[in-house]
Amino acid sequence: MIRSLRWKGAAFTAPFQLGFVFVYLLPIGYAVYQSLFVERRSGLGLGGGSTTEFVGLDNYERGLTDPVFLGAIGRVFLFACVQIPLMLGVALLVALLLDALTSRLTSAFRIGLLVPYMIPGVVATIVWVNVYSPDVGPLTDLGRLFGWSWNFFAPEMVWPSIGNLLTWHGIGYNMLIIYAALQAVPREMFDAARVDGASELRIALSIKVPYVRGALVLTGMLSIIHMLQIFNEPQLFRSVTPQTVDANFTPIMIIFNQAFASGNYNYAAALSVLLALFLGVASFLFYRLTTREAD
Amino acid sequence: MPNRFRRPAFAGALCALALTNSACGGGGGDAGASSDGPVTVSFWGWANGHEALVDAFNASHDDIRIEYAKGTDATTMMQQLTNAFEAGDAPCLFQNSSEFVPSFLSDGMLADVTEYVEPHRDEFIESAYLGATVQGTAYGVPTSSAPAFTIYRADVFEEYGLQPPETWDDMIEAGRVLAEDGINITNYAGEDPSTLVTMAMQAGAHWYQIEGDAWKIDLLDPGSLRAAEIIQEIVDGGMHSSLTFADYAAVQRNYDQGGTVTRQISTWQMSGMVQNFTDSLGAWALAPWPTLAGEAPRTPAGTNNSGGVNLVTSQCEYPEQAAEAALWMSTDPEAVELMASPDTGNGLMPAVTNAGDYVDQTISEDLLGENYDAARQIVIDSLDTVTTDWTFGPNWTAMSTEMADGWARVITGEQTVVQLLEYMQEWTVNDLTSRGINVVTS
Repeated sequence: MIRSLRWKGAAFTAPFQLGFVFVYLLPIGYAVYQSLFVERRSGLGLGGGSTTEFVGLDNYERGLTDPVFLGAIGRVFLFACVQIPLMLGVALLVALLLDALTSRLTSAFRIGLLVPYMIPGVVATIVWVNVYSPDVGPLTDLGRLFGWSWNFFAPEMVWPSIGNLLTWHGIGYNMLIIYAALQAVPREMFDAARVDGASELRIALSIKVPYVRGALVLTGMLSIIHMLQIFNEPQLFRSVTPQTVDANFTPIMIIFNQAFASGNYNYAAALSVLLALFLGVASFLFYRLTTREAD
Repeated sequence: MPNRFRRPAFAGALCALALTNSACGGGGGDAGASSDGPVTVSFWGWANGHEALVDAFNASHDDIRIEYAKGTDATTMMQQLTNAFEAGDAPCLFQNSSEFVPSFLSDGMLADVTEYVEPHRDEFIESAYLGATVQGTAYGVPTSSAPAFTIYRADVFEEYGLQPPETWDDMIEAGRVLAEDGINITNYAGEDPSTLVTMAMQAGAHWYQIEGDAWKIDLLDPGSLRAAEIIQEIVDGGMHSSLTFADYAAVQRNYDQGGTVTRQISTWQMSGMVQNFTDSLGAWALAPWPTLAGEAPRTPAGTNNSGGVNLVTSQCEYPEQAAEAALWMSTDPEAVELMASPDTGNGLMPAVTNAGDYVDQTISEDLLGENYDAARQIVIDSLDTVTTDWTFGPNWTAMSTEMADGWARVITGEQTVVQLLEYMQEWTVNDLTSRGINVVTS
């Protein structure tokens, strides 16, 4: 009786399980499998045929010693170290401000800040690429008004330009998660603090921020995953400024190139697995570092 | 002929992001034919004029139907093709550039159509015919030849008392004079190393050579080093602009307003100039491709969209019909005329032996003004000096992508041309070896 009930219960999860197996497990398994082989031609390589050879972990060794791949990982990692604290800091600040306000205006602000997030990332990038454009963008004229000449596509400006776009795009979403966590803080604690003579700033720093720590860890983790996998934005930047954003600018761009420009599907698979491992380690370390005190 | 990227290719990048054929005008495979109906040949391309060309073919043929799918540009279609081929869904026939034929062949994507194409060999300019072959085997039909020459601002040269540049040394000398007034002699786009490739070809370099059962890779032979020296002198002298072709409007405006006053081009680039210029129409003139001092004229083999080919894939069920369709598109007089015009076609110089008859269509009187008549002959003459002993390697697709990244650092002065060549020498040998291809060096 109980046994059959269990099966019935489990059956309800079947759609999820099927999706999980087909959309996650099988492709990952296939990528790992692919990464253990190389395709070899022979002679002049003009015969058209190729043989698939098992090479064990050779592709991984190649990836771990590939200065281009490691360089790209370093590049996005550095970017993430600057971008994530900045974006989450702004999101936290906005959430705190919204929380401090009680007027009906807050919901209008909330929606307003969320609008960029509703725009698909690719579309948002195209919008910003045009805003940045030295030719047609309004910022060039604006700069001229103040006597500045700036180029948002210059080598030293590419990451700030991308960072600004990501911040604009990501604030609303992160703010919403943090704001929701703020709503859950027991209001009577604020009254108690006020009775004790705490200022609003003190309340924010000593009560609200510690309370939303969990939300910050969550948004931080999601941002790390997003930043290290960055692809759309640099790829579209590349289409307007190929001299500064090269074809191997970020790890995913390298993987994309290996698979679809060079035809090295096996190596691309190995790099994908390596990137996933790297992401896993980074997320794990981040989680451990940010939650240790709470234990 | 630096021009790989012609437009701010958002559409292309978007398609690349979408990663599917269907999202970008794909839909391939052979629709198949019933025993008595016409055979359907699927055809992928991106050239202006293909739709009209295919309509004309279908109207005049009962036994073969071409089913056309238009891609956004060369780079995007390359990725779609690789994917379609992996999925067993490649088209029968596709447009491409002769420099990538060995790469496609190495990936097993091409069908041997020598028996259908070879009988028509004498209808084509020899260098164009060779563009669709590897080691004597034909894999498709040439669509365009590769005339190459210099276009320059005659008025600016006159103003400074300069002669039209005959040699590369002349170019550098003129560049030095003009640089004093902030005028650039040439434009090097950071994403496009074709300048280096074409000059190496001219200087007698052979980056890829077949020796028995192995490739001999040599990017550091005297020819390559000579090309490197000329480019380095221009870069070090600050005589070049470095505008990317991704910002197409800005590049054209720079030429139009006299920021940069010479280009090494083929015919098709002129249509973009005519369409975008306002100030300098009529002020341009052609000169033969610069020679190396003391050497006979020699122009590069087809690269960078000149030297076009239509290739038959190994997944094509009807290679004979595909070859027939391709032959018609390249040789039928009406078809050739349609494609040669920059208005109805893509303005590329045809591949047929009487290509000279179409030179009027491919160059523009608006652009060249009173220099038009002299220009006609320069275009025709340049066809006789095309390099025929250059071979592209089986990893050229990957190699040229890698080289583009290094070229950007040459333009920004972060490394020298020779350093780039040294790096690419090592990279190419390693890449070929990792593909299991035999390599010998020196």
